[in-house]
Amino acid sequence: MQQEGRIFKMRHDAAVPERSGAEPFSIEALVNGLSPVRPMRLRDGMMLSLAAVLVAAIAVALSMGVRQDLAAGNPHWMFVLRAAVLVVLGLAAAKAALSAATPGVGNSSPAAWKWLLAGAVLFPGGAAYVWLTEPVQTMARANLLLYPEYGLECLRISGVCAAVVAVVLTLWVRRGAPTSPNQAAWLIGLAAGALGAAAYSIHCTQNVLIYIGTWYSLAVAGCALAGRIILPRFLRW
Amino acid sequence: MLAAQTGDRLAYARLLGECQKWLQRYFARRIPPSQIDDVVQETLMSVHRKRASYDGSRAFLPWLAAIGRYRWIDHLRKVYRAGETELNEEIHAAPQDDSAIAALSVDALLQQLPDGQAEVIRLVKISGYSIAEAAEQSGQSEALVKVNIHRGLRRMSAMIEEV
Repeated sequence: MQQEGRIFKMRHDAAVPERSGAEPFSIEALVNGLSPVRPMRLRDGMMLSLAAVLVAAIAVALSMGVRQDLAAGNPHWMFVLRAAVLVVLGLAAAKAALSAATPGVGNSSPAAWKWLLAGAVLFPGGAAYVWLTEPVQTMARANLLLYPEYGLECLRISGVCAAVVAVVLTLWVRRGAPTSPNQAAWLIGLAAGALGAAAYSIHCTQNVLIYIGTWYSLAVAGCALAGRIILPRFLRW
Repeated sequence: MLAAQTGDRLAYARLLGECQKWLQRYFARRIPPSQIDDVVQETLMSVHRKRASYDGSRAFLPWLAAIGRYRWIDHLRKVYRAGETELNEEIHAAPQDDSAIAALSVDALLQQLPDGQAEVIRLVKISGYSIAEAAEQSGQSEALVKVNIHRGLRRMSAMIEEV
């Protein structure tokens, strides 16, 4: 091996796939290619995420309208609870995802999102409780309670809003050095799903627990799973 | 690194030189000597490409170690996927690193896998049998052989990550 600053000899080793078309490596070349970079700051990533959510929410408000009680300044308590849980969960997951872009051995990633996810499980848990304790009555009123046509709209629009947030988060994390792309992908999907659903919720007029616990949970879980399946290839480096 | 992020080339050159030395010691305990240069170079290039991800409010070494570890795991995955017909039973390392040899020994890793997975990995990846031949010898279906190889290699990768 040559001394530092000189060209290293690329050794051929059958066990190591060769870099096709690779020029000889030198520290000198890296130094000559140095240009100033803007360090990645967590707060910048969080601001971008919030901006993405706001854009999605504004688009929902302009295209579909805002629920009447919210527009009147007197929102139903269920809306407040639902939106608060989604926003806080989404921001906590976003923070964990953004932190993954700046790695460090021994640095523990923010774990608040796990506790908040456990709290958010109260919604699908409540829906499951209603199904289990009153199955006959619930089944008889399923169409009325679940509003399938609105539920599917919830999934669709939440998914679109989530995609906006997911793109912003993914582009940010890609700039960094995520050392666990699969975990980062889960977190991006979870954050995007929660924040996307929060953006949609300003239009959604449903206040019934079984509706919220079913459709919103499906939206968040579906986005988390989609993130895990789709995003890792974009996060590897 | 903070100076390098602003474009200070002199500081950057000194930094990369020190990083190179540290990485050589880091990888000397983890991969064969013949592969160290390449992995050090890949890591330094990653340091260069990802320098914006360094948070100046934190220590530098954990950041470098995280990038070095990622490139190490990536290197090991490439080696497995390169489709070598022979896997060395022991990965050569400095004589004093007996614990590293033992930890990284392929045989030691295979012993920690379920029997079905270890068997087909030995047959296909070490002995060079085809999937069909391995299925016949092991009594597993061809689909199960492929699944067991995939799962077994992933588990081995995970065990290496814990070393």
